[in-house]
Amino acid sequence: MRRLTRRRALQLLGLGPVALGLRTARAAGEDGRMFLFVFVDGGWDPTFVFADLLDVDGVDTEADARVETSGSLSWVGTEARTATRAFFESWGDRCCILNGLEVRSITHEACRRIVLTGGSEAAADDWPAILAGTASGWTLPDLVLSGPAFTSRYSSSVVRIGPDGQLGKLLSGEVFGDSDVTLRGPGDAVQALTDTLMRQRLDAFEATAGAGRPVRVAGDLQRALDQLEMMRSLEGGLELGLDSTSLVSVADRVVPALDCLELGLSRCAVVEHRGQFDVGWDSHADIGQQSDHYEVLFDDLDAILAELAVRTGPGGGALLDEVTVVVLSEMGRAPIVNSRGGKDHWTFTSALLVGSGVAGGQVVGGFDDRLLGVPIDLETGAPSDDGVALTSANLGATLLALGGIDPEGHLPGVDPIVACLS
Amino acid sequence: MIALWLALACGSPAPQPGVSEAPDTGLVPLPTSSDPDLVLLEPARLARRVSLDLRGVLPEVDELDAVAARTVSVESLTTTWLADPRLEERLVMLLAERWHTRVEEYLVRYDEYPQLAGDPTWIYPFQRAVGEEPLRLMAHIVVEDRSWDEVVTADHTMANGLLAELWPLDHPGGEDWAASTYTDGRPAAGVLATNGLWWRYYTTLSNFNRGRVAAISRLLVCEDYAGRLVSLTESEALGEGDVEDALRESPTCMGCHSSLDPVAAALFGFWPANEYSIEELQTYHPDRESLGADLLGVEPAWYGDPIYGLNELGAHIARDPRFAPCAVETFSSLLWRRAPTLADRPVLYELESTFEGGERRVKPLLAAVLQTDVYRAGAVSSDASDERAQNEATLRLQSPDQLASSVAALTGFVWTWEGFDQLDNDVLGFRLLAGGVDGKSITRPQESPGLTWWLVVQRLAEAAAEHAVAQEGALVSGLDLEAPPSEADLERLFWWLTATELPTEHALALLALWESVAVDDGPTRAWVTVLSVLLRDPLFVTT
Repeated sequence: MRRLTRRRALQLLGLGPVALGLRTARAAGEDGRMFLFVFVDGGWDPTFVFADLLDVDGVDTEADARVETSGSLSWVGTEARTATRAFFESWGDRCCILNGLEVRSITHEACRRIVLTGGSEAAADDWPAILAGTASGWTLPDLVLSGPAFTSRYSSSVVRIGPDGQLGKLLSGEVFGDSDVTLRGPGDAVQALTDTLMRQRLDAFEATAGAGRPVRVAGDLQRALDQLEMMRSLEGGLELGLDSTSLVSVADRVVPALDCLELGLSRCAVVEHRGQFDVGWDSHADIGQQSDHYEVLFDDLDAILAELAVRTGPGGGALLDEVTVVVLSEMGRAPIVNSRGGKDHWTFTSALLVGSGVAGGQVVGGFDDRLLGVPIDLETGAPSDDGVALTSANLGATLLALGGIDPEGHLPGVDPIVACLS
Repeated sequence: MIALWLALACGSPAPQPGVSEAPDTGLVPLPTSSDPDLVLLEPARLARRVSLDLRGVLPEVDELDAVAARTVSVESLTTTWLADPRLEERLVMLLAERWHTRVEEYLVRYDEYPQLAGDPTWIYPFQRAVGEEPLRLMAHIVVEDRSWDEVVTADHTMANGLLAELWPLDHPGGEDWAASTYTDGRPAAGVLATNGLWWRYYTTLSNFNRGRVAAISRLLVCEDYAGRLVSLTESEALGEGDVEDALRESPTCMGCHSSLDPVAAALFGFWPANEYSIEELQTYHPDRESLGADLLGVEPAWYGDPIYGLNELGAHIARDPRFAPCAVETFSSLLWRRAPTLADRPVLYELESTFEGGERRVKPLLAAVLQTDVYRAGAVSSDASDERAQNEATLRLQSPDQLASSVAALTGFVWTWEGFDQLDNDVLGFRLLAGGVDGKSITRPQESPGLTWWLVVQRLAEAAAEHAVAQEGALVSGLDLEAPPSEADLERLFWWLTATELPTEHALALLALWESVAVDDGPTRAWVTVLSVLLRDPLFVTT
């Protein structure tokens, strides 16, 4: 895994953090907490790792599956699933497994929206967009490497790197070489002149647009220019190239995001995980593939967490203490194996929270013997008949709370899962 | 030059377009809003928005002058532009925002086609052609002023030379898009009989076309099965037995599947025995039409009405009372740049009346939508609620395809790289970074600009300005590129690009920029720089 330390970036630039406007003084509190979302595409089967339903008649599980433990955390494994075991043995005390989340749909597209926004409304922002869009001062607020992104009000907070490293090419001007006609592009001096003029122009535009009423587009144009100026100051010190080919592991693909988190440039980063060979997790045939997918996933997560643990965050501590890693999939898999040896879609799923602000070493929530989520006491995380049936909205409220955002403003009446919070 | 600076600095009157003081007699009346919350665009700015939405290019200067002088109405220009051949291309792009068929990959192995395996540069044009097939059929029906019903009943499709080479199609020849007919015996059902639609909305073997029904139901009658929230906790059957039995017996499941499955049963001519096989996917299978009843246990029907064959499915959809309102809602939301709300109901009813009165031709509907206050709004009044201000799209970003076509018309610059349209692909290019839709991960256009949007716009402007000067594109026609810009040059350029008068301070800044660059890099490069700034002006990149 290649990496760029914050210190090295600053050395390369010959600049101190204040000159760069980095968020150095921010303590690793809620409003400075950052998030890395790993979106598992296609629908994972919680019974392979997260949910112990080994002795339940109505749920098909692996023949050689067993419950494994490390510290206070237990999970489902097999002898052969070594990467999964290694992950939990290393990081189990930082992990909160969340079981029994309901997404209330069985189509991929609807479930992606629901698990990331809490509902099926088309005009909605996903959790990373809200976390990034409601905070100010982040240069690359919601850095999307790959995977879904649902935005409406906070669409301007999303920054895509592009599968071919397009963001880096745009910044550097390399795009002028990526053209069928010969282009020269402006030199640095001209660029500086036009940047100055555009700043003046946008100031004037913002003052006149909207007939005296603030217009979001005008304000966001200003913010985009702020972000661009910040990125130009970092150019050469931050490698935003991205190799997204399936031959490169997610752990390597995510490096630019880790760099941006380390430098305090991004509040959120999003990367998609498509399992072994990048084929996706939608196992309608041969559910056994899930075991291989999980091994690849936990191998990647192990590398990512190891990297977060050795890097220093903007708050001065370990980056892992300032970043919450959120691993989730749009849906679960049905309890029974179908005629093709696979499992079909299921409206209940699991999520995994690791790192900053997370009360680790525990499993919160659960499934009953039909693989339906059970209600829980949000304070303790224990099953309770009088408790709350968990939905993706509860997960969202929990993430917003971790981010120092009052969930009531975005998810009225939805409570966070307090048991997950340290 | 000095005189110009002094004139601008002193605010001397210059021949500015604009007619606010003109007498009313004989002039086109100024538009008024019936919605007190909305402030309408100036006519020239409105004409610009309409032109970009219908043609993807800016109005000519004389058209803007005439509208500003109130000798020509926006409505009359709209009528002219609705007959513009570029409308078809715009409709393809507009409909793509909703139909999501222009995706970057399909669930097929392209190397099964020897033609594509031998030359992978054909994969991108092939993917685009696949995704555009249903969109171009719809667009063609609109521009030919035929009834929208034909979208689900037409006996032909649209294909280009590439599709015709690979698929069983009777095409008139050449490379261009043209009305074509499948030769594999598929029924007449408009877009429902296109490979493009079903490649995008594929079915797995065990899904039995159900996902496809959810798609066409959402797109054609605005009934969104996938958007319905389901709760399996209420189901007694699931988790304990056969899923297919549960879908027919569980009340929870039947809420959707009692109407969805009979439609799915009508689509088995497109049900592949292997969902990855080109041969299976590109060919209609008449022999499988009856499989639906066997596999799903229901006879084909559209919401209770029995249907016998795919062609009857289309006819039933066209007769569905939700079909016309859905078309109205679709085109309204695409042009309003926001979803309709309950408060829009009265306007939508009027539009439906127009649509039905016009025998469901879309052009009259488009003309009517373009006259609604929501479309014409340029600002929200200070008295309106914050919620209203937040919801209305009064200042809209040019979409990636609008940017591409408007800049190409002005400068001659088309941003391609190794055959890829860089504003129309996500693998190497900038469609998503410029706020576009990929149809899978991103299904709504970006509403407000962010860093990547701005960067794409900046680089496009710089490249296009350089190209325009080098190749003498339309934008530089009549300019002396060896001399500084005159006052009239700048006013005309700004007016053309933004349909707005050039602010004095900005004129001075542009002149100063030209002179600064010219000192070191010469006049030509100075012009490139000035034009690049104009092509990223906030009033150019928005509508």
